Amino acid sequence: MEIFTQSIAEAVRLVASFDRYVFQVMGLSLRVSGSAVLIGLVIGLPLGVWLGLSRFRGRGILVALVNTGLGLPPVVVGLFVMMMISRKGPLGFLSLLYTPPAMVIAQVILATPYITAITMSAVGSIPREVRLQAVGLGASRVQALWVVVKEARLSIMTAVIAGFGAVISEVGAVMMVGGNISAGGENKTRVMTTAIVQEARMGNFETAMAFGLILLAMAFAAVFLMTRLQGGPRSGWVKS
Amino acid sequence: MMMKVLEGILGSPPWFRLRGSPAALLIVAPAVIVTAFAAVAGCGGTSATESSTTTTAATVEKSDIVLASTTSTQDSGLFDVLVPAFEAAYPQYTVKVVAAGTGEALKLGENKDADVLLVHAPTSEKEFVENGFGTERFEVMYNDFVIVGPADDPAGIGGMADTALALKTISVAEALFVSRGDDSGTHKKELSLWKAAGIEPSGAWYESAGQGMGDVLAISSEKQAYTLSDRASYLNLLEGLDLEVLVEGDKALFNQYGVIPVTDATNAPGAADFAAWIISAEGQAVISDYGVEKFGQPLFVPNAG
Amino acid sequence: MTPVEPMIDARTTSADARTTSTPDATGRLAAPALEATALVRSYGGVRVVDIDHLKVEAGEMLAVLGPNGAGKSTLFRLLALLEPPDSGLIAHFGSPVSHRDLAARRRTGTVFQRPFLFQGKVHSNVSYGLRLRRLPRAEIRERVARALELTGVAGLAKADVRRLSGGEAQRVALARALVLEPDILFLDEPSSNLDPGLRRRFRDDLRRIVEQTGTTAVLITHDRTEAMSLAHRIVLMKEGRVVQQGPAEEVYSRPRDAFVADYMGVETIWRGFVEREVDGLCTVLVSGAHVVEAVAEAKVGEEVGVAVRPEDVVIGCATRGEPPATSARNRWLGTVVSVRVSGPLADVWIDLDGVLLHAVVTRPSVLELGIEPGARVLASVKATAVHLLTDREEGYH
Repeated sequence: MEIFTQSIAEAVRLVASFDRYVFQVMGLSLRVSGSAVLIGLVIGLPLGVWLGLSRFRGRGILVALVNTGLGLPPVVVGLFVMMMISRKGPLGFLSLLYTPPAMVIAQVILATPYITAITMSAVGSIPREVRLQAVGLGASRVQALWVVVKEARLSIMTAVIAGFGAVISEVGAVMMVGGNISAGGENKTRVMTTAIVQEARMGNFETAMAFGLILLAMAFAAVFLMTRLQGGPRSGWVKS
Repeated sequence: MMMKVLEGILGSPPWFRLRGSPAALLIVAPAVIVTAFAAVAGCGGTSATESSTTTTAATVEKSDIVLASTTSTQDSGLFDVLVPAFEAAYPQYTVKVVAAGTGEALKLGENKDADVLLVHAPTSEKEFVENGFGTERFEVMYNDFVIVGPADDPAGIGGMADTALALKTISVAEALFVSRGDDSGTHKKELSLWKAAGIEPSGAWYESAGQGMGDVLAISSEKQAYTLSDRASYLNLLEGLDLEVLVEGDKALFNQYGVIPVTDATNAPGAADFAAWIISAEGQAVISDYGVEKFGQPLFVPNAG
Repeated sequence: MTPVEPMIDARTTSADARTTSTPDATGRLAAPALEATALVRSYGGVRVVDIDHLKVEAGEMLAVLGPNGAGKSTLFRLLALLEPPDSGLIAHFGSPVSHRDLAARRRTGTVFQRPFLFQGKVHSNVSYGLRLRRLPRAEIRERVARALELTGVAGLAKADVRRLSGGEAQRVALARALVLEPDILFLDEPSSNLDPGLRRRFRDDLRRIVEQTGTTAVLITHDRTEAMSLAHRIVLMKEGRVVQQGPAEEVYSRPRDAFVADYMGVETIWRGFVEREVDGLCTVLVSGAHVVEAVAEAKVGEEVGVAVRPEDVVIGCATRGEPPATSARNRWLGTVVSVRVSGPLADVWIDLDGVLLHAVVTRPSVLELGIEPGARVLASVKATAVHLLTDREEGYH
């Protein structure tokens, strides 16, 4: 039990003392996972709306693929991205491996299925008549879809939160394509999760645990902020 | 055990450790994960020997010998030939290898969870025997560390005989160097070498990965950076690496292994027999042959007696 | 577009006035506001909509009436350009239009059965269509205020839609469509989700608004009372096809067949044979005994359905001798079987020696005439109020 109280004390100390190393690692975690979720939203939102609202041949396969994507092991994604961007890989010329962009790419692959799947079911649960109603008031196809997205915004925000939670806490992919590198006291590709693994491997369980607590607090703060941003709970479309 | 567990779950192997096409790798990857979890569940780390035990159709009553060693020794593949050879010579024993960090391996001996140790930390080993945990320590073999780096060798250290000079040259050139940074035996060795060279490495050129040897070699290869590696790891991963051995052979780079039967071990006769065999001409021959076929050079140099 | 003349409770006359201005008269005075020709829509091999021809004159309200599953809502979506037909033509004011024609769609407004308000405030809902049309802010503000005023929810502009009652929400939905000042307003069962009390008020307001604004409207409904009280003309649908279309009064009083008669609320339909026909006055023998006289066109010997609307039956007290002064040609003696009072009116079923007659009388007359089960009464119906159904394909009740 002692380790827990000590870890909490250590976590508080690290944050309260504005430890430069800790803040650099926290900052990179937020930047990498935040960008990944934003890019994932740009990809997953239209994809989810499309899959949620249209019926076509092969849709079932795509939906199954997206749902499979929810269970993608981060290490497999890391491995795949690593293969693609390694010096010997097809995208090796970009020199991306062991850089933050590589970590963002891997996390985009992890976050996009979450955003797509939840968006898909969210817009699917908005009554068809909402779109018809928008069309009936003179909306173009795209404008009507936008209405549906706006009506589903609560769920879509949930999708973003779920995606963010998934990527900020994953370690397999960022470890593989990021490399957990710091150099000359400057953080390069070390994020909270990889730092935790390293500290644990080195037997610094207390520090590892402290980092873990900080990560939890970060995730909580981010989720709380996003929830506040969307303006509290809302009922869906209005029934009579 | 904690380290091993974490490595199993989190220490993902670089892709080029696996053979085959990229497509095959994606199929292999889940299997790798599954086995990693299996290793966790089995917490004994016996997988290396299990296949070999079935080969001897013994009629004799068998007893287990628990051999504690380090992960890097296990990774070198030496046990895959050493253990079957020993079991062929002594059919009454089955050897179970527990691979852990050096410190943890010694701890296993102290607690008598292991019968015999094969580790590479001479100072700690001597202490271990002096404290009465081991009956005696015999030198077995050594392997060596090498400084590897890109073929174009931007710092120009290739062929240097003096490790200290090579490291100084790297630091002066500010050529990229990737450190294990994980407090491991290799990391400690690297730090002692920097110290001997009178340098405290820092700056953007000195990167710390906090990961295992395989990962650090992969990173160094990708970044075309220098790093310190044990020869066995380097040779094992050679195929996928764009790195060459630039500095080797310096005494300072040697890594001495010792064997210690644990005092009052559960299987004391087995421990004694194993120690005796490994320093015998027969055992030493197995060590000196290992790696020649595959890498064209031995990975370990036997130096018992 | 023909300007709508103020209406003084003269739905049929004003509808007739418009009918005279239709193109098939001397020349093209004005194209109908909406015209559909050979409209077909199938789902899974079933023809849900199969309409030869349908039109709505400018300024007129057309009710599409029919039971559930008649294809009304599908027809609604086709006419409102919300989805394309498999085949067929739709024209607005003489020009062909399609669901791809955004400009044409933007000349219409739609109100659905459920309000489907968008999350947010009432005013943002009502201004939605205007914002799509990129109107100046000031004009939007002014028109939204006017529409809310018109629909009687002016005080709710800043309310969150979640706080609205069902009736208020539907009024907002109506305002959201009316604010567009559409050339054609499409209403799909706009009141059927409301409580009965609210429904009547909503209906009254809807009529007032449509009359005030002179908007051409298509109303989908399964409720004949709603159709009768709002529409100038009625299209009655069954299984995707039009069974009868015409001025509301005509469809009501002159149902083409038993289905229409039944749907329009005629409960008394007897089977009989035309015995005699003299100058348009037919004598029909029902159940071999009762003689019914009707002003109708029918051939002697033909089997017909005899339809009598309950409100056309006048009841007198048999024991007091003469019924109220009447020129009715049909007078039958019978026994009251059942009386059901609902509000100011009462439904009375009378057994005329084997055939049942349904009548509606006022509540005071029930008391006055002592109408109760077992009472002997004299029922009389004008020959002009008896409608003969000559559709032989339909089975009668």
